[in-house]
Amino acid sequence: MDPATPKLVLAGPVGAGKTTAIRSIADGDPVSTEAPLTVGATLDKLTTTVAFDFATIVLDDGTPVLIYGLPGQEHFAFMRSIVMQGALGALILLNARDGHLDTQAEYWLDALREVDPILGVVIGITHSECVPGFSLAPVRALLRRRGEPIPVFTFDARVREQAQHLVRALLISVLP
Amino acid sequence: MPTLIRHAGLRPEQEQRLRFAVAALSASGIQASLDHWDGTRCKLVVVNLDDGHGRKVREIAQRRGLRVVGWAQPEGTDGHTGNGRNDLGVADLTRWLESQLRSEADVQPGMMATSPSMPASNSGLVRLAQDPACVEGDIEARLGGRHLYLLRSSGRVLTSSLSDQMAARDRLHEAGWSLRQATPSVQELGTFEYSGSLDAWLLSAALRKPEALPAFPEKLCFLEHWPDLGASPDAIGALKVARALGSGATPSSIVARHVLDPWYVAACLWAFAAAGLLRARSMLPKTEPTPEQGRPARLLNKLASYFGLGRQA
Repeated sequence: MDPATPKLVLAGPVGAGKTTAIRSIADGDPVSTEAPLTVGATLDKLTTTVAFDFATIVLDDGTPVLIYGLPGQEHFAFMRSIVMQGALGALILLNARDGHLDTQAEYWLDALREVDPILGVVIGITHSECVPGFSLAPVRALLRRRGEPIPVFTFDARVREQAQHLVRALLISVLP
Repeated sequence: MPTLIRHAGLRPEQEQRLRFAVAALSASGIQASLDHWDGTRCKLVVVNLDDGHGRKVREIAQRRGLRVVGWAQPEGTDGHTGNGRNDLGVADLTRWLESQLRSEADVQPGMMATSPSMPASNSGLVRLAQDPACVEGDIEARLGGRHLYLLRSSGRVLTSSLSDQMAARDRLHEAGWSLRQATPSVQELGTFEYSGSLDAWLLSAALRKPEALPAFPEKLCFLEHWPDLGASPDAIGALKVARALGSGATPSSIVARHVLDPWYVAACLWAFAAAGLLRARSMLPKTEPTPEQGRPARLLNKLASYFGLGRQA
């Protein structure tokens, strides 16, 4: 892994949609390290990432930008500092169905800030339409308490345009 | 000397229909000629509001004090597929032109002429942003058979179906909405089961008929939170407006800095205000966005260009 190659990082818990989002953002199919779920499989999630997802986008001048999906399992936490070297920014993906979004958002913000205190970050929440009574208020309140006015979008990771729009929000929030 | 009418940005079928209508004005004793906009003085300018050149000409003509009429995509039109109801026929267009040309007192030069379908500034959207009775809190909204909840507290819009949500969005520019502070009951939550992003819905409503909105007041505004625009991937310019508002900006400064159309910025501001996100100068944010430091700006700009941030919308 070349730390000098620019990269975007997707972080978040298992099942948030990182692999799906990378597939939507990247130029081609991602290299995926998935294996069948032995516990907790559902109709729309039969596999889990056992290392990390990796894909590439190529800018107009031929510069490659790598996209990494950090695995959500805690026993892969040691990989974060390695994967995040040279990251231009990070997308934290959360699954609205998991609940306690503010707690999860805080965990992942702390995890990323521990490696890079000034990294640009946005939060994307999937499956919001599936949760009766879903509210953005807890995450917004958390960000207000932390003094971090970062974009928080509900979106469908399967829809290319929406996944790319989340990246746009990241870029526009960090561009001088 | 014939009455001079100019046009800009019209599609070929619109131009053809307009030519027939202009020719038909002679039956009413009005001799008129039609030509492309060339920047010279004329009696009336007809522009296609769905076209960038048409909108640009509208701005220029208004600045020069010329009477401008806008031709926008009719209601019920799906902006993506182009399916929709029939547009104005030649006879209707002729009558409308005649009324515009004869009515000197109705519209002051430099203002947009209104058609019977043009809503007043007490539209649902503007009231949500300005009316003290519904500018805060969660709102129960009704118009005709449409019934929905706009939950600012959670950032969601609730309807009983997707089609209801889209239909209500398409009519938010109209007057006559019943708006009152209320939250759905437990029983109603079972009925209003279709939930979407309130911010994206309001923005979509505002951008469908931006010409129906008044100019946004020139004042320093801040965004309390980033609006939830995940479901508005077409509204790239709205990201720029949101970024500018993070540290405080006036409408004119946003237009100038980001080279955005004034009507587009106004539409975004009305939508953000209606969502309850916009704050006036007295409520300063505790912190301001920290620009990325130590990141290669050139690379970030190339990445931004790759993801279409060079486009306005």
